Formats: sequence, structure tokens, C-alpha cells
Amino acid sequence: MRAVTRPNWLGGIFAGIWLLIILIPVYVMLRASFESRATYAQNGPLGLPREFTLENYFSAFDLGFGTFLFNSGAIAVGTVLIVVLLVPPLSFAIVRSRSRAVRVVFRIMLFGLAIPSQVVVIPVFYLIDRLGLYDTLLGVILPTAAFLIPLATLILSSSMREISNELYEAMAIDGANSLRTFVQLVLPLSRGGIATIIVFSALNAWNAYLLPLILTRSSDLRVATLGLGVFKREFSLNIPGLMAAIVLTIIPILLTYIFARRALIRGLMGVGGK
Amino acid sequence: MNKTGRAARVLALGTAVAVAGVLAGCTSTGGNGGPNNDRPEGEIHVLVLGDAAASAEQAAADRFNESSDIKVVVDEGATAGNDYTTAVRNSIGTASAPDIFMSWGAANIQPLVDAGALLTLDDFIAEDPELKSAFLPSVFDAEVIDGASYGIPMRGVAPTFLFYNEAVLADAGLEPAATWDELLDQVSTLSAAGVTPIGLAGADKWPTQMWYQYVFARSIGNDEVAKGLAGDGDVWASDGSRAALATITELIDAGGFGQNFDSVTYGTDGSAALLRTGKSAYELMGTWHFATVEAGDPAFVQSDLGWTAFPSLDGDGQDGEIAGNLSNYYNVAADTRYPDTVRDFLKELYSDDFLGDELALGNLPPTTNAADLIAADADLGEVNKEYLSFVVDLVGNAPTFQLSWDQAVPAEGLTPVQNAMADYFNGTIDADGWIAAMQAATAR
Amino acid sequence: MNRLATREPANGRRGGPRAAGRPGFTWSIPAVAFFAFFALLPLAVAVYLSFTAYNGIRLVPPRFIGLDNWSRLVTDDALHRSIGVTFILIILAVATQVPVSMLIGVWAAGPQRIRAIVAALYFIPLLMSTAAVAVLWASLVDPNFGIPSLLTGVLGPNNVFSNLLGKPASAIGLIVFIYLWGASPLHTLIYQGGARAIPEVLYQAAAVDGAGPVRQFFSITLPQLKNTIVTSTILMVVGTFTTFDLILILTRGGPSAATSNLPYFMYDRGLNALDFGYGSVIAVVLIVLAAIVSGVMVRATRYDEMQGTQEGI
Repeated sequence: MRAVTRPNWLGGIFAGIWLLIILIPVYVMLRASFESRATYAQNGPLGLPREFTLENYFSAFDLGFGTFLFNSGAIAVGTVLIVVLLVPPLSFAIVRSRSRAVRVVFRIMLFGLAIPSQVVVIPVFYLIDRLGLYDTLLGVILPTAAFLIPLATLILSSSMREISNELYEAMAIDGANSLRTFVQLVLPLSRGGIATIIVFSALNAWNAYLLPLILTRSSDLRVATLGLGVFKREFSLNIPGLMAAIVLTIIPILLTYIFARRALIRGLMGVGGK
Repeated sequence: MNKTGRAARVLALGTAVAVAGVLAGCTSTGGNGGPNNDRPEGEIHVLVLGDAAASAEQAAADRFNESSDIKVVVDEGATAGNDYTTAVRNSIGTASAPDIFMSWGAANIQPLVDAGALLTLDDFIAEDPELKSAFLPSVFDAEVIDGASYGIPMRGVAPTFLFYNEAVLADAGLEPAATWDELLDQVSTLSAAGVTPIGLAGADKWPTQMWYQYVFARSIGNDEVAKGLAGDGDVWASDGSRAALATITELIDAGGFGQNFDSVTYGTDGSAALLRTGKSAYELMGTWHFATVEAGDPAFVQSDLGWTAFPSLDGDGQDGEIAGNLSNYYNVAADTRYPDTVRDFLKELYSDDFLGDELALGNLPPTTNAADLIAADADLGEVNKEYLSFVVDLVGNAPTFQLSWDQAVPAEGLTPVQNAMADYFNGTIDADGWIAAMQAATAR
Repeated sequence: MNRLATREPANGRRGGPRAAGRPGFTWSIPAVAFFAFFALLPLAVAVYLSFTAYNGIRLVPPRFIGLDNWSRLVTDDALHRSIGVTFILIILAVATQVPVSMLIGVWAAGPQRIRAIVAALYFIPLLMSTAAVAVLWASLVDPNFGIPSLLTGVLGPNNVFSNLLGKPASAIGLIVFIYLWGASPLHTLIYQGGARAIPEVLYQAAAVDGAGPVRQFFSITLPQLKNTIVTSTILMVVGTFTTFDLILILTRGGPSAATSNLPYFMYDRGLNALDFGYGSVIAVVLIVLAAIVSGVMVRATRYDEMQGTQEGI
């Protein structure tokens, strides 16, 4: 389970450099979010912090960000629920089934990974409209979840296949059918993979732009990605305001990731026949 | 196996049926003539561009709703023009389409006009002539197609002109250039002083386009340009056009724009900051630039920001021809359920309250009384009033006002035009390449 | 509930008793039906649109024109160019992201507490939407106020970083770098998970045999990560095939179409130009190409045989 236990200095240095590269834009974003527009304009993106103000965050909430974040959250939660209900059985089938039809399904999922949403968004609009779900959160959740199924399936199958045959054999000797095997063996050992797909489905749904744009119009359904527009004009941007709004959209997902990681690590520890 | 085969057949049949069902939805629903009573009852929907300037439109809706039974619901759409227009086109003809939405000019709405999706506003104007007479004719006429009016101007008139940093010019011992030759001469002085003579946000391409718009307006005149944009390819290949291109090249080669303009973005304050911090002397930009520069340094615009009309240049153009964005416009869906409510809401567009809100946002109202409004506005500072009055005069005295070229060509020509502008500027294509690209982009 | 187990022909691919406990096709039906309805069905409509002329306005129904859109595929040089750009981006993306993600991911799988904290920080770029990433990087590459301006002291005023967006090669390099910055967290996480799952005993045995860290990496870590590598690389390749948001906001396909990859081209010449018929054609080409590439990868590595990496240990 552990890689080389001696401290790896070369690796550490490389990781440190990479950390710096990762964090420079994050620094720009954070610093700008706490500055006023005039200060940021003097300071430029790479300046040292000169001011600390919360005015951008306040104005984000004044302009409706509370609602926007709630809507993004609702869509993320709904999407995750659908994905978690549909994908584990599918992954189980892909990893364990001997049926040729399931082989075909796996190919379809690989194929589905490559569908670009821009082109299908218009037929999706007609579909949702005909279902009477235009301008509803559910109307956004359903297609968003559907487009995430291939990705989630690939990730979860990759994780599930590590469950060793001996464990399945033990269940079979026990007289377990596929449902019992799924519930008592596969699900507990797939906790890590399921945590991963929860995080990535939530992330993708949270950052979705195109589907909410085309499928909703009411102000009270506006999501955070569209809500960023309150800091834009047709040609120019209010960068500090925009950065504050972006920080607000990052925090919930970061928290989700941090909590899910615990399940991830604990889950991964259990894999491997130990 | 049998099971797979059967499953596959069922899936295929189900798909075919479902595809047919969805495609049936692709054909028109709701009549081309008359109101669509599937639209929501008791309300009309206005789809606004979802940016910071939408606050004025929201305020207008709130004011209107106080005294109207049928409510105006403001929906905020995308902030990018392309996404916004796509959403409109997607939903038009359905009950979920907005009743009122925004456009950028005749080329932007031509497909909708051809599809019969827009209501002609002439009836409204007959009932309330001020819906037309309150606005500047040159601006209003931009959305009159084949004699029928389709749009009421709103947001701001935004011609482009030359901004400059007074302090930088003063330090170099220069006056703002009044002729092209003066500008060309000043380039070497300014470069020697370590300043980028002209700031240009080349990464966005539309600022680059502004230079062509003016050099061509001076060299061959906007009437010729309009013909070229309407599809007359000979205009682009003419001697006048080639001379204009050569003029532009002269300025570029002299180092007028520096070396790195293609990496400067307007949106992230790249070029405005140059002007503000004294790293550039000039910038050709639209009316909104005042607000952009002010947001970063309010003191600067009060003391050191200058503005002037584009320099004169020998050629076939008339004096004072200008180019830029005429305005945005509100259009009405042909199948709106409450045309009377729509007509009454459109009256907000020339009301003092709405125009005052637009002024506060830094937009210049597209109305004939703009000068009076500016003078009477108590919230505007002296410098702001001076600035806006300059723009009013610029527009008022202009014999022609050419819409930004990428907005004046059909949708499929927009990016080819922008690309041609940028590619010629950085030397990727030569004059012949540019001419060919423009001819292809404007072909009808 | 025994109906859920299928009757299996003998094919001996897996060890152990057959039949009992194996899921059948029925297990996949809910997900497949849902996906088919909301994704494949719209795709079928899009494919239909590729045989029509349609400008996106619903009032004007699509007009059937047969193969006219498809025949443009052969003559459209700009399209061919964009396919080339797509493959260049993919190759560069894989060449940069695989080493970085793998090395960081394996490092982060180590026991020291600080590694876990650092790994959490690495994750932040992935959380940002493309709009955020594009705005930040546009500011950072500004020649006058961004990172290049810091380098002018050392490298001079018009150095190689001054005009990153203006030169084709550097624009491509910038896009690849930003992809690396933004997408490597995902792959780092995948490799981290994969590395954690490698049993300690293997390393202990190798240490007993006298193998050093480099030898251990190549003989143990890499082979054990085989499935992880394939998963991550498939996601990388297909991701680079389908994303263009960054290109749209940052470079707009430029300079001179140097970064105009296939999805951007589809957006620009199809959807944006109100030519949904041709846009759909390009979409089909895109999907087919991506499916072929990922299919080849799967076949070549026998990924779809669903073998765990620890079989037989």
C-alpha cells in the first residue's frame, strides 16, 4: 500500500516546485478578491497584497450569489444522486459479467465519453421542452447526469476491477447470488471509487455552464457559473469582483472533496484482498 | 446471441420512434401569424444580456410593473453575445421564447426576419410616434430592414475614437495628433521615450478591427465600405482599399503598436492599464473605455485622460465619418401574447428614468435629447459631462456612422473577418490574402 | 432474484466457479436506458441534422440536403488543419500530463502527512471553471503586467515569453501548459489512488532483493499501475478531443488558426456560423475519431478484459 518509505528528496523538491506553479494563479485569484478595483488596477496581477477588503464578497451576495450557489448545489446534489444510483450496478456488470451485451455496453460508454455537449444541446433542449421540464432544476439535472455516466462508469469500473477473484469465489461458495454479492462484497469495497465519482460528478455538475444556459431562464434558477456575469460588462471585467465570486464557487466543492477524501483513503485501504 | 439480438432490435426501433418524435418538435409550433396563447399568462418575458448593465433594464421592469396588470419578467441570459443570440434563436417560435430580446444590428436579426420570427414595430410607432422620433435617426435606421422597423435602440451609442494620456504626450512635448502623418511622426518620439505609442488589445481581435474601420473610412469612405460589407467584392480589391492597407502597414512597421499587442487582452484590463499607467500614449477604443479606465483609476480620468476624433487622412472619405457600435436594440417576437403590454413597456426606453440609469452606467443614450439629459444630470461630474458631450457632438456631426464590420456581415462571416484583421496585422497574410478573406466573408 | 444471474457458456476466461453471483445484462439496463434517452437520442438527432441544412432557428425546419455537408469534409482544408492541431494537442498533452501526474501521484501516495495536505492543494485548479482559469491566465501572460513583465529584467523587453498568445508555437505551448495545470489534479488523484493500492509486500520483497528506488519504480510501480495508466490516458485523450472552452476564451483559435482544434472548429464554423448541418458533421467526425483512438488503446492494452492488476498475487 505504501510506496517507498524512505523520504524521497528529489521527489519532494519536484513536488514543491510543482506546488508553486499550481499556486501562483491561486494567489492572484485570492489576492485580487480582497482588493478593490482601483487597488487591483494599480497593483497588477502579480503585486504583493496591499489591501484587505471584503467588499467584493459582500457585493457578490448583494447581487444574488446566495441563490446562485444554492441552485448550483441543488443541481450538483441531484446529479450525484442519479449517478450513484445508476453507475455502480452498471460498473458491476461491466467488471463481472460474461454477457456479450455488456461488452457492447462498455464500448458504448467509451463512445459516450467523446460526445461534445455543444452539438447535442439543441436536441436536448427540444427533448426537455417536450417533457415539460424547461426552466426547472430537474430539467437541468437529468441531462447533466446522463452526460456524466460514461466518465463515472470508466472511473468506477477501474476501481472495481481490483476486487480479487478469491473474494468472489468465497461469496459464491457461500451460495450468494449476484445481488448479495453486490451488496455485501462489491459496494463496501468500492467505497473509494464511489467517493471518487461523487466528487467528480459533483464537480462537473457544479461547473456546468451550457446546459443551465440553454435549459433555464428564470432568475431564481440562475446558477453560479452564469451568475459570474454580474461582474462582467460586454467588453470589460470587474476582476476583483469576479475573483471573489469564483472563490465563493470553489469553497463548497473544496469542502466536498476534503470530506470525500477520507472515504476515498479508507476505501482504498480495503482493496487488495487484505 | 438471441438475447443480444432482440435487445438490439428493440433498442433500434425505440430509437427510431423517439427520434421521429423529437424531430416532430423541430418543425414550427405556434403560428407565424398572431399571438401564441401557449405563452405564459399574465406576463411577458424580457431576455436581457446577463451582465452588470442589466440593472437598468431590471429597474425599468420594476417601474413598469407597479402600474401594469401584465407583469414584465426579466430573465438574465448569457453575457457573451454569441451564447445569448444562440439561446434566442433556439427558443424562438416556442412558448418558452422571450417576448422581448436584444440584438446588435441588422445582420444579427436578418435570419430571424427571414424566418418571420420578429414583429414589425410600425404599428406600435403609429400608435406612439415617440417610439421612433425620440431616437437618433442614424441609430434607429440600423434596424430598419426593407422599410419595416424591427428594433428600438437601447443601452448606449458607442462610436470609437482616439483616447490619449495627456501627461505622456506633454512629457514628450507633443500635442494630440490631428492628422495621420502627425501620428506617424509621433511614433518614433514616443518609442524613444520608452512608451508604447499606441496601446492595442490584439488578443481580442475586435480592437484591431477598429483601426481598419477608420483608415478605410478615411481612405475610401463609409459608403464604399458599406457596399463592400454588403457583398461587393470589388470594393476590397480596389486601389483605395490597397492604399488603406498600405497605410496601416506603415504604422505597424514604424512600431506604432509595439511588438506584443497580440498577447494583450482588453477584458483583463491589459490595454486600459497601459494608458492609465503611462505606458502607452494613445488607444483607439469605444465609448465604454472611459468607464473601464475610470474603474481602475478615478483620479486619472479626471486629470489626464484625453479624447479626440480619429486623425484625418487624405482620401475619398468625408470629414467626420465615424465607426463603432451604433447601439443595442430591443426586438419583439412575432407571436407575443400581449402586444399592447409590449408596446407600453417599450416606452420605457425613452423615459428619463431609464436613460438616467444608462447614463449612470456610462452608456450614452441613443436619443435626440441626449445632450440635454447630460447637461441636466446632477450626478455626473464635469469631466464626465465634457466627455459625453464630445461623443454626442461626434455622432451628431458625422455624415456616416459605420457599424463594426464583424457585426455588419452575416453570422458565418464574423470570425473570418476578425481573423483577417488580426492576421494581416501580425503579418501572417499579405494584402492579397486579406482581400480574398474579406471577399469570402462578405459574399452573399 | 436468481434471474439476475445469467446462464453462461463456458469460456474459461476467468478462474473460479462460473455462473453463481455474476451479474447479467439486466444490471446495466437502468444506466444504459437513461443514457440512451438523454444523450444518445439527442446524438441521433444531431446525426440526422448532419444531412440537413439548419440554421438553428426552430421556425425554419431543417431542410434535407443529403450528402452535401459530408462532401465538404474532403475539400475543407481548414478542417484538415484543425484535425492536425487536435492531434498535436493530444500528443503534447499526454507527453506532459502522464509523467507529471504519475510522479506527483505516486509521491502523494506516500505515508507522510504533509504529502496529503499538499495533494489537497494540488486539487484547487481542477475546482475552477474554465472561465476563471482563462481570466487568470490571460492576466498572467500579459506582456506588460503579467509574468513576462517580471522576466524583462532578466531576459530583456521582448523576450520569448512576451508574446505568448501571438506566436503559433507558443500559443499551443501555453494551451498545453494550462491543460497540464488544470487537468493534472484529476490524473494525479487517479494515480494516487492506484499507487496506494499497490501492496507493500512487493516493495519489501524487492528491497530484500537489493533493488533501489528507481528499479522498484520501473519493476513494480509501473506494471502495477497499468490499468490506472490506461484509465487516466483515455480520459486525457478524449478530454483533449472534446474541450475547447479554454481555447475559445483565451486564444479564440488563434493566432491564425494555430490553436483551432476540432471541437473549436465545430463551434466556430458550425454552431456560431448558424450552420448546424455542417457542425453536426464535424461532431460526428470528432466522436468517431475519439472513439477509434480510445478503442485502439483499450484493445492494445486488453483493458476491457477487466483483469485486476493483482491477480495471482
